[in-house]
Amino acid sequence: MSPRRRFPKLPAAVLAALAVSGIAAAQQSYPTFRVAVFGDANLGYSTRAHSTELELGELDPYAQVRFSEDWSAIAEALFQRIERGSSADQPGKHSVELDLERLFVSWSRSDALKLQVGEVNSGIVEWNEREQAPRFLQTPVDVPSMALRPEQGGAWPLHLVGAWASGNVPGTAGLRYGAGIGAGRGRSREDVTLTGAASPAALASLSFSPAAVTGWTIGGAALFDRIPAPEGTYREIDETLSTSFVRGPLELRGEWGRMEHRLSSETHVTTGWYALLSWRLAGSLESLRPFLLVDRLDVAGGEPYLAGIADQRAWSAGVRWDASPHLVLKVDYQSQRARAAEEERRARLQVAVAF
Amino acid sequence: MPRRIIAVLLLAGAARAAAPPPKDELVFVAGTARPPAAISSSDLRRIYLGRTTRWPDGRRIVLAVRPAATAAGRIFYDRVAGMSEIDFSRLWLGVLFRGDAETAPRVIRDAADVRRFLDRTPDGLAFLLSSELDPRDSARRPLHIDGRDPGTAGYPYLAPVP
Repeated sequence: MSPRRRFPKLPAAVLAALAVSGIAAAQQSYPTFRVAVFGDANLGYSTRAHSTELELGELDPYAQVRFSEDWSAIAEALFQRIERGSSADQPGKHSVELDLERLFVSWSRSDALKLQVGEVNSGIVEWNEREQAPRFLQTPVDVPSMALRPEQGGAWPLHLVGAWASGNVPGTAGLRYGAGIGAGRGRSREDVTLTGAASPAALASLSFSPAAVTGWTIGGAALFDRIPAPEGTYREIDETLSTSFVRGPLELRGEWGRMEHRLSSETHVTTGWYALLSWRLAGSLESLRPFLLVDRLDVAGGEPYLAGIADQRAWSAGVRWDASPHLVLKVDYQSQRARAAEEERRARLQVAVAF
Repeated sequence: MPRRIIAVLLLAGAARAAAPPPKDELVFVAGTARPPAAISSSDLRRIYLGRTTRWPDGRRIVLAVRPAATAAGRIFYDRVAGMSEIDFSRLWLGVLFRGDAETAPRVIRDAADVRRFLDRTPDGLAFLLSSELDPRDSARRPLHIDGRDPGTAGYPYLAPVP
């Protein structure tokens, strides 16, 4: 009988491929260069409209250069299919856009302090901080609404152009901090730039991963911004709280966020949260991870700056299959309800790749 | 007299048969640049999950892991990483994508190759079963974990009895 190929060899192959040099290599020599690409595509069937839709999702290439033990740089781009003007007043327009996701120089001499200068993640939404853009890296099909990028209909500011400092504080509390300052949102939600109508923004985050409870992390972040919108200058104050418990086969994640925009005497409040539960199966089914995601977003009504962002009431249940080191397939069933809209139910297949 | 000798031999044989097999443990060994050190199991986990990337003197830690198909790898994923090998690989894709670490852990199957890795990587960190340590190599000392030496009571990474 020929030996059956076992899946656990595959992740080992991923790590082996990721490791730049082999056993024979001693210490690292510089500079080093790494390029990788993530991509995904989605097929959905609506049980309400009885229609099938194929979406070419995102193509997310990134490159990292290490100049020395202390200095490095990262550039990440994102090709994505954008649907604009799909609200009632304007027919949908589809286009493929190229966005610069991250471009920064990083310096670090110890785990206690890392400095990044350039376009970085704002860190206000933990999902965005941890999973970044690639669908390959996340368990479910969907990105929770509060972690969507502005150009995809997200409300929270996910990028900052400026300086970001972060690090670990030694000790059993597993304390991790982050602080950033720079240009936040511009005249529209999608503008994050140092030129033109830039806004001063500052962010602070703190999280704990106590040694006494292996796998548990809890944290929070706050962001302050002044948005130079056409209708006036908003004062923005965002707060998020997040927690996760990842141990053994179990993955539990949750996050809550509140975004306050003040414009003269008006205050607009947007809130959102999500909860994710997933479980790695055992034995011959180890490559499967069933999941359940609950997603909610309540957008401040009547706020021009957030116009076009819909509320979200959704849950999805499905399974992720790690088919190979480079290929992941996910299937799910999603129930979605937006403001003043009929409930949408969809069965979906997502194919995500990593090279 | 011969009867007494036979009885002693029988007793010795019985005692040997009743003795428990030597305990095997997962031991962590650092590269040649590192003196024997103490570390907590939670700090060890942070290192292998990419949250701690440097030794106390600031040098980057170069990690090696064994596949889950090996006995050492099985204990590692179960007791240290606390996740499957699949999830460990996915986690490290994210660590590299964020730029948190320089390289992913190197996957090394054989104990002899692990020893070679440690010889050639002064800032390396890898693991072996205690039975895979070369007894002639007294210079290679396992890390003390949670204040315990391998072989002493309370050491956290005892191999399960097959």
